[in-house]
Order: sequence, then C-alpha cells, then structure tokens
Amino acid sequence: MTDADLVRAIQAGDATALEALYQQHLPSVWRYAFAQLSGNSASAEDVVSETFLAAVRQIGSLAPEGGSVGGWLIGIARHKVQDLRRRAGRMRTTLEENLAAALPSHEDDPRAALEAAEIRQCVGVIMDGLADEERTVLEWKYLDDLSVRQIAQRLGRSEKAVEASLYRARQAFRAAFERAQRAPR
Amino acid sequence: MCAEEKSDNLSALLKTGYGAPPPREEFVRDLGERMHKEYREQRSAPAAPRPQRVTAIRWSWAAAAAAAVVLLTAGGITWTLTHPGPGSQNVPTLGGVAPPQPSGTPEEQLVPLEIKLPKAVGGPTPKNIPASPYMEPYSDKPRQAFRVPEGTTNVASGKPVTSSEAVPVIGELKQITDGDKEGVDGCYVDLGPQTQWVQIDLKEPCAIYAIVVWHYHAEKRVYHDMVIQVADDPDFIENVKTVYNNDFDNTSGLGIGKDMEYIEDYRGRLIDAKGATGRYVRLYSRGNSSDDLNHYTEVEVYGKPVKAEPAAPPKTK
Repeated sequence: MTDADLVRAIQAGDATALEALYQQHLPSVWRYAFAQLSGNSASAEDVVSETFLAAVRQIGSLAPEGGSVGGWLIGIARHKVQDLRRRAGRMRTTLEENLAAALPSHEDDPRAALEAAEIRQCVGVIMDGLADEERTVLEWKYLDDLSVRQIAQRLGRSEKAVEASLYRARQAFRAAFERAQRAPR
Repeated sequence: MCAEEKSDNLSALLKTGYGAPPPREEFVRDLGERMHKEYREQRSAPAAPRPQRVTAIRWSWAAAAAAAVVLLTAGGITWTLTHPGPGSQNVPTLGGVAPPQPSGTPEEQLVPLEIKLPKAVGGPTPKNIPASPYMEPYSDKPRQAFRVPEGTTNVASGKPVTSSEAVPVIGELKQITDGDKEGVDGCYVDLGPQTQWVQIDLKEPCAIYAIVVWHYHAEKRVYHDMVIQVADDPDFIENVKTVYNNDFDNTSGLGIGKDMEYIEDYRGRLIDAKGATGRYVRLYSRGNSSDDLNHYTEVEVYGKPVKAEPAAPPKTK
C-alpha cells in the first residue's frame, strides 16, 4: 500500500491503515528527532509523540496525492523540535551536546568520540537539508536495509525511478558532506 | 580519511551520523494507543462542513434541457450560467456577477490598497536567470490596483518576527516589519542557505487580504520555493492555509505549488490572501538565482482583526 492509499484509508475510517502508517514512518521520525536533539531520548520521545498526535488531528485535511507523507511528518517534527528548542532558549544543537552523547560509547578514545560527534553534527544538518524524497530513500536503503523493490512499493514508483532517486540522493548527500568537511571551522 | 573517502562509505557514515537506537517498546506501544484513541475521538466528532471550490462544470449537450439556467454561489457571489439549449447557435453566457476581487469579501466596500513603494534600484534582468515554464515573464508595467475592504491596514507593522535561524547572518529580524523597504545595504536580513522561514506574529487573529513581500531587490533575482502560510498557532499545526506556493517540485516538502516564480524588484510581490484568517504568517524560501541564501527586506500584511469566537458557556446539568 502506498502512502496515498494509506491516507485515503485512514480518512475513510480504517484504523489498521493508521497503524500501518505509524509503523512505516515511526523509524524515520524517531531518527530525525534523535539526530536533531543530539541523542536525547526523552526529548526525542516528546517530539515524536507530539508529531504523531498532531498528524492524527490533521490527517483528515491532508490531500492523499499532495506530496510525501514522510515529508509532511518530518515537517511537523521540525516545528516540534524548534518549539522545544525555543522553550529551552536556543535554536541549534551544539557540538558539545553531540560529544556528550558520543562519549559513553567511546570511553577509551576521546578522539574517536569527537570525530563521531562531529559526524553526527554534520550528517544531522545535511539530512535535514535534503529534499524529503532524498532523505527518505537514503534512510530506507542504508538504515532500514530495504531493497529497491520494497522502496518502490512503498513509494508507488517503478524500481527504475527509485534507483534514479537514490542516485540523486547519494550525489546530493556526498556534495553537501564534502562541502561541509572542507568548510573552515 | 579525506572527505571523499568518508562520503563514499555512505552506509557507515549514515549509521554513525544518523543512526539511532530503536525507541523503547513501551513508548511505541503507548504512543500507538494514544494515536488510536485520538483517531477514534476525531472520527466520532461531528464533521464540520468543508467549503468546496468549484473548479469545473461539465455540461452535456445531449442531456441539457431546451434552455437552462444554473446558479452557482461561491464566496458570496452568485454566478448565473445561461445555457441556450441544444441546436441553438448562441453560446452559453456567464453573467450577473460582482467583481471577484478580492475573494471572499464581496459585500464590503472595497477601496484600492495603497502601498508605499521604495526607490527602484534594481538594474536590468541578469543573464543568469534562464526562462522557465515555472517563472512568469518580467514586466515593468505598474501593478494593477488591488482592492481591499475599507479599514484594511498593515497589521504586521512593528509586530515581532521569528525565523528558522535564531540569529540572522546579516541584520535583525525586527527589520522585516519596520517599514523600511529600501533596496540598500542595512535594510535586509540574510538567513543563510537551504529552506528558511520568517514568521510574523500579528498578535491577534486577522482576516488577511493581501501580503506584500520584498526580498533583496537591489538586483533582479528569483527567490525559489516561496511558500506563504497563515495559521492559528506558532507551530503551524492548527488551521494552516497556504496562500502562495511556487515550489513546483516540492523541494521544501510543503506540497507542490502552482504559483509562478517571479523576478524580484522594488515593487515587491503582492499576494492575494483571499481573506484567510490567522494570527501567524510564515514565509518560506530556499535560495535565489544569484546565491543559495535567503533575504527579506520587508513584509506587509494587509488585513483587519477579527473577533475571536466567544467561548461556549459551560454545560449545566
């Protein structure tokens, strides 16, 4: 079932479609919140909860063919993250926060922890800046280990179209990453 | 390891930089239950009638009567479509209507909107702006008068502005509503690359008839993926209305827009907000034809405050 099918079914009163949509997009929204909040699980849970509850309230007015549902959910999550940061009095996560999150898994190697923190900081910004479909296909392919066929089924596209989308996403990510690495710090 | 080597190992890079442990099972289950509860409540609440816009009328000659009149009412205007009947050489006529501008307020007295323009400083259209099917051709003809209900003012004047960047690269956010729209250095705000937004809190719900936006206009350029929304809440969740969207490929993820890109100049862009109501106005953009930055010189929101609905009296036994 594609996202548009799920939205139509939810609007028609099908609770199982709501469950399917939740299961399908939870990993992506969770990862987004986790990355944007420097691995703070408690805050990420708040953001993810508020995002999905707001989505349930608004889904009745969502046009099924109006764009990517994943992008719509990340858009809500983005507002929720900003709202949380605004309440905390700041707008960006810092390298120090990412370092604090990375240190426990690199206890004996502070340099590796710093490198991991820098990569988290950089990749979080790049993923947030990618177009929705680019971010989604990268996540599904490289983090959720879905095949091109499975991605095509979820998106309601041909496998060729997904391959092209993956190619563009890789190029966009690579260019942004290399630019960020070369930028003066 | 150099940047190219790192980025070539995309899978490992994403796992390190964007991976996350799975959420707690208890949290996932609890949230799922709360969603279903919310969903059931939404479904059981009586649905408010949703306004429908007439976009097309299909007429069948074979099924038509000898002559027919169709009355359509939209936005308070009644349109009369008169069909002369099959076999007639006359074409169907549309008439008996009030002028459709601005949308949604035909019963009020309309007056021309007066907008104070800054000095024209932009030079000729640069060659780095290619023609595009998504961009309207540039015209230096004066803008046609736009009519608004009497008493309409710039409700954004001096109102607080927030943005996707806590601190702009150049300028201060308050400059966006300070009335200074000149196309010179010191009058604009630079918000950096990627999709960025500025948001104006009108401090009370307003009926909005027009929004006029000036990006950087000392040079003719095209700002991309421009989306303007009005909402009741600062997070843009409740009652969000999109009044302008030229993001034709949905790059910013706010939906595909059908409005046209345009070349910026000293006149700014006037957007017909069609009487949309809301307290917050948010304007998105994603770079421009000269660089990937986002600039705002001034935003004016022309409207009138609307009184909030009185709270329902408490239920008594």
